[in-house]
Amino acid sequence: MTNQTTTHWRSLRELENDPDLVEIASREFKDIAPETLEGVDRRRFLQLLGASAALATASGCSWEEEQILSFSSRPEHFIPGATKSFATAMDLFGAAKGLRVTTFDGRPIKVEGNPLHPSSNGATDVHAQAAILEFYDPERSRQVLREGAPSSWDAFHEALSTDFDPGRGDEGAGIAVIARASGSPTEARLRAALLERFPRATWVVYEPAGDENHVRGNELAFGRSLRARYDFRRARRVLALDADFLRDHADCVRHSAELGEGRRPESGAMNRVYAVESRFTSVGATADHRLPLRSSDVPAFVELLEDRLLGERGLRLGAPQPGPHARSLAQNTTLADFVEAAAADLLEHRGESLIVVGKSQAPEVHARVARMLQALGCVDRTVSWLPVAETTHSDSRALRALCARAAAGDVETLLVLGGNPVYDAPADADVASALERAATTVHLGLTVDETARACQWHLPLAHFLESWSDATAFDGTYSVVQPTILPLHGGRNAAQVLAGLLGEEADALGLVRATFEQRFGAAQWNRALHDGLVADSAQKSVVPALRDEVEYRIEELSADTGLELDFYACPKLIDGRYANNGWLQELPDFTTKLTWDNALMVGPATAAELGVEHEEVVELTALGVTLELPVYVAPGQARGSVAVALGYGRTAAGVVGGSTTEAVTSVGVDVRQLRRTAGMWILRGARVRGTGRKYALATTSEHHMIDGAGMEAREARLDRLVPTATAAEFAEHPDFAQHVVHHPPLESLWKEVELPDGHRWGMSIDLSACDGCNACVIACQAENNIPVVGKEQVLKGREMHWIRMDLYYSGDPDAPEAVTQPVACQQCEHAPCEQVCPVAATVHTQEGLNDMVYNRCVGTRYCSNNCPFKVRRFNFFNNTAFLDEPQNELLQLAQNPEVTVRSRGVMEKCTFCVQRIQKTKIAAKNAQRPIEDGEIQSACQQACPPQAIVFGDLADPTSRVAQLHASPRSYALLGELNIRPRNQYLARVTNPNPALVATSVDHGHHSSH
Amino acid sequence: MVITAATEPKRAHVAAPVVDVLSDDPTQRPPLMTGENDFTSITDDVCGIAEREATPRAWYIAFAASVTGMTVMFAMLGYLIFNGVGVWGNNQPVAWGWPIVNFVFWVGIGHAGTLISAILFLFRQGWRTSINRFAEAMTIFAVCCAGIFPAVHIGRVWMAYYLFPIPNQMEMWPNFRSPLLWDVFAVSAYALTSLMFWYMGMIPDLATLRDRAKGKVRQIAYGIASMGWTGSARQWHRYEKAYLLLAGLATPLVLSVHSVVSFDFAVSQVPGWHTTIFPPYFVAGAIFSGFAMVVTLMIPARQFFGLKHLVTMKHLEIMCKIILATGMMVGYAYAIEFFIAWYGGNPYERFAFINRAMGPYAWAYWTMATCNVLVPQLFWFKKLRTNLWVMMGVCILVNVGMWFERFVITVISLSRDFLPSSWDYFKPTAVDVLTFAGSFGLFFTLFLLFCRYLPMVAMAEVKTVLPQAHAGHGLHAEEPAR
Repeated sequence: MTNQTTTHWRSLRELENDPDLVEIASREFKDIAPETLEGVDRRRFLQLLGASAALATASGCSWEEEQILSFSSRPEHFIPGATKSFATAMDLFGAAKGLRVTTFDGRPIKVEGNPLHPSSNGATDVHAQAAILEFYDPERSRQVLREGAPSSWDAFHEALSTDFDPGRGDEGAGIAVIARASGSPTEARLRAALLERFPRATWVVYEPAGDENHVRGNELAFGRSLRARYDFRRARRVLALDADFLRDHADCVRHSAELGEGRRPESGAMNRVYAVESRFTSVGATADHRLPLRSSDVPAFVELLEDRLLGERGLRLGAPQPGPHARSLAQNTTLADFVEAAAADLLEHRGESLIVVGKSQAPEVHARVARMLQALGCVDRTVSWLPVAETTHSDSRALRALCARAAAGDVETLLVLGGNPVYDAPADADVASALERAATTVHLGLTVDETARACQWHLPLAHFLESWSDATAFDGTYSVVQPTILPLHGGRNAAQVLAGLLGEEADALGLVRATFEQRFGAAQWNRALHDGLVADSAQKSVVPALRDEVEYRIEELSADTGLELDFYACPKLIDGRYANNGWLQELPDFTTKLTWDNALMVGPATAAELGVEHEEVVELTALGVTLELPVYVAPGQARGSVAVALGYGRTAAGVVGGSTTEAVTSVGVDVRQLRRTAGMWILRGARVRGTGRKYALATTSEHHMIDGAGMEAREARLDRLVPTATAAEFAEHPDFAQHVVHHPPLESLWKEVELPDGHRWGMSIDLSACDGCNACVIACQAENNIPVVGKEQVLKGREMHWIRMDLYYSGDPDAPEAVTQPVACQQCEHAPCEQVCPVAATVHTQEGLNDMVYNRCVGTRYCSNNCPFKVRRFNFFNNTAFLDEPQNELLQLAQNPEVTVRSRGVMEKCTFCVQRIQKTKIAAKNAQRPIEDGEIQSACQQACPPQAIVFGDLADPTSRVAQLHASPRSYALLGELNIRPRNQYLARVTNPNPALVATSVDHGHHSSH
Repeated sequence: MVITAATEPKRAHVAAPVVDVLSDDPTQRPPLMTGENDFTSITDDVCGIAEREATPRAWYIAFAASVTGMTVMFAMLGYLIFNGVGVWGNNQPVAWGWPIVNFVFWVGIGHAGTLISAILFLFRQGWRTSINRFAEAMTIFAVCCAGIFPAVHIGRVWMAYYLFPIPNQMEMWPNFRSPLLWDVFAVSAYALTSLMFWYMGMIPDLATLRDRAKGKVRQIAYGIASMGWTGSARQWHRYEKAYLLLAGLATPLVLSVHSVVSFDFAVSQVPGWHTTIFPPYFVAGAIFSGFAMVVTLMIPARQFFGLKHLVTMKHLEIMCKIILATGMMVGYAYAIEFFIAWYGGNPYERFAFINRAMGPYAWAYWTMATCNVLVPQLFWFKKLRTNLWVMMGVCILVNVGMWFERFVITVISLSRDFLPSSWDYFKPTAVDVLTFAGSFGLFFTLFLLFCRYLPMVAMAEVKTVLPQAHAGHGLHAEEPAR
């Protein structure tokens, strides 16, 4: 069948006419040996067929065998179905946030703040709320891996026993550890033990979004490592220099709570916040005055400020005259006025003023500000200096040095204790190559991330909800990390791994107790467990002396530095560690309302100059690297600067955040290649070129350029929706908000139903205090089993969050003002939704709640149309179907068993956390006592750091909520529709500097009586 | 012979061979039909269509296309029910999208038939007899299309029975305050009455077909459908009474059904929906679109099936005049909505209308205004309103415009209501488009079946307005059949 003239052949053997091949090729079934083709005869075949059919049927006859174990007797204090709370703490950036975790039948379902803890005061941020989803992430690693293959802890310790042999000759010079910032005293103790045994070992702390500039600046100023702890309670004048201290700070929850207190006009003396920043942050939105300024111009601003403080009041600062760049900036009258007013105000409030510098600014700027703070008499009043523990001090230069050493082959054993440096280290710290060169590489982490893939060993890290540990609050308060469940996947924490390597017993509780008893003695343990902390264990602040002789050189900018690119830690994903957390990915960013992406933030004027449009894909070139990413035209982004969030473009995050092994496209763009240890936050000389291509960004609200008619109406409507007054206006007309909208007397179309005496649940939200931290949104999501719908659905406008954090910009798009307003169901007494539902699926309770009856709902969506707030959320698909997939069964445990998981085709919305109301009512009834005010807290209220949300019983005139409703500031949103919402807002009052009012945007014109 | 206009207004000039049916001379009333018609010729002409042995190829082609469209629609509905409402473009502010637009569109079209058969009957408009069967059939089919949309647009289709007041173990009644519930009653009552009216009116003609039928199948089918009609005087007596009563019953329904449909919008508080003008405005719009659809279908049908002598240019011209009149009413409603939005001083409503005309959906608004207000103005000119091509073009545009009217009301108003933070733009999906396009398939499938197998013209009624029917009689036709 083959011949010599063949021009096509299948192999060389065929070309050579190999006889075997000829034989094979001539067969009908080439892949099957001829003898197997003989097979069985017809009779035998039918026998087999019959037998196998019979056996197949028989296999269905027995139950699948599984073993369950029941309690033969109920453990003491265990009531099935009753929730229990445990105090614990979560360590982020080396600072603990005290938490209280609710467990249901032994599994954690909800995280709340620990009211006793100084860094949370009972509130939380989004990350603590999202910890539940992180904990139950089905993609968390479940076993020790060696070169990607399953292994065991014992095998790991055996394999590394030579590396950590005390008799090792080089005193551990070949050992290096890259750790995340950690405030755990136990980890610090074991670190010390390790370094004692191996004195020449290297221990590098690296946080991609760490505050190393701040610590180094204070080293410059004071000659020692210090960190500032701000007291916003005392600070009546705050100047934030490129500092988002409300989000991007280890102690942000406390900041938010304390600042919020002074934002309320009833507090007596309102504080006043000035913000100078390149990107619009939550501080900028909260501030009374905001000056958009490139981050690289902030040093010049500091020079001008220093000059001004020096000039008039003779604060003895050894500062030189402002440089030429600063002087040219001062030509801008807006800026000059701003400096003048802010400086005068700070001086006037000496000892009550505060200047906060952001982590993006150079150490010299921090040093100069430290000096100004000293001169303004702020030390130990609005700012206190705390010594920095080595385990919390991130040092990217040390990381770079370590990588260089490793690349030279000087590192044999490289341990990555938490963290993901392969993904998040600056480009000049090549961790990947370092890991390649080292003989033994180990990664400890929650998931098999980019670093785990680059290491020989991967060890599953125990989540803080499942492992004993300890932590230190930002102020140094000792906090216990108490597990709520046994480790789900046999993970261990960093301290256990260290103990194991040191040959100690790797018992987490034992390690923590040893540390604890060393410091506090055994007697206090139970108390500490209960409270989650040891009271009065905070660090003592120091009053350091300035190093007079130092001259802080601020790098002089030339005029043509080009476009500035700012990196910022994503308020949701931080440095990418939460990239696989659907709640956080889908959370609308406070200032951009962007979900599921990062983008290049470009101000409207800059966008026009660059000729790029919103959602246009651009080529961003810097340092010889070109990246493509979409543009977000962001109001308030300083002219001449663009910004991009860190934490996106993960390739080994998982099915949510992106994974190459799962073939899931990365969410957003990784900008790591543009980061250098020398310019972790600011990069000058970037170039942006439009490509003309479009990329859809999923935002939950359009607030950049829409059509003219729409923008005009939005701006005109703003004063009706979010009435704002200055403190002076408020003093004159405290009830200004009630006189913004004039309407005829409101009459009901129906005969009004008299509700029986009893509870009248209501809520009050203070728009002066709210700074848009989004904690309520995620708390609500966690409490109420709100599904994540994904980018495509968000693009279609089908996000499910029950709370919508509205944000409105007004004024000049390049220097706008912003107001925020969290809007959930307003629980109208005359609910428009109830009237139009044809099947009576949304009805009123006797306590005045607007209830959804999911079983009854057929999904006409008429209620949503008739809701003037558009806060109803419809299940367009079966949004919870993924829970039934076998690989996601673990996520079922994250659902709150007290709240229905909704099916496809039904409407849902805020219920005022009716499950919490019922629970407390039942408990009170059983105890035959009245419900106390504040006993029922909605999930959003509980999470809110500035306590802007208050829930309670309006029928009780002494309740907080009733008193707030009676406040002259209280107004009903769209009250003119006669819907009588049970939620009322406290109108926003700002405290602008009279000296700047003429130049700032008019706060609206409130009709007087 | 001279008959008084009060009793038989349309009758004059018996057997005038060539007459100008379009004459505007008030002293010379043109006949309602042209040519030399008698009872037999009308029966032959109308029944002949249904009795044809060979179905014309064109019919098959049209039928195949329609059935394809219908299949696409049902496939889309299956896909929808399997996956959920999310397959459409509906989103959070725009919770009602194309399905509701389509529903109102089709219900609107379904207005002409009953108007022609009931209201014009009560007003003794003899010219209606040539077109009423046709228009009623169109009504039924349009209501069939309309009925599908509200049923499938709900999130849990399998729970749709909750919308009906069915006694149940939960002791739950529907919410009688909800306009959507009124809608359920209004539309179902309208559909049932229209169907009854249409069918009852058809019984004598079905009996005629039965009597002439050749094959067994036809004999049995028409036999069952004609329900034992013998044409006895007693039956005619009952028939006439029942027809009159049903006309009386259907007349308020013509007005009520679209008023109630408009309540879905008017009773809510969405700016752009919450206006008292909606009921009359919707009814006028419905008649407008219904007549436009009748003309659109009638022109090819009379041409194709050789009915030009029964449905004359005069009929078409009268319908064009009605279109012009109702188009002006609709235009007036558009204008008054804007006036009230300004005059009422409600900033939300004012914006709703500015947004319609100038917002991101301005294209839809101006399409609507052009098609519904400007284009029908061509009918002021007799030359244009008697030109079949112009007529056809205008009527198609009117229906395009009327679809957009519902789109403008439903989608634009919802897309931007009170809080700007919730504003969003609505984009339909392919499923939206295919479902709507497929609904035309269903409509034409039913329509083609009707054309093929049922009497397209009400023979018995047409005969009553033939001059012969009144030969020697003063007032009433006593034996119109046969």
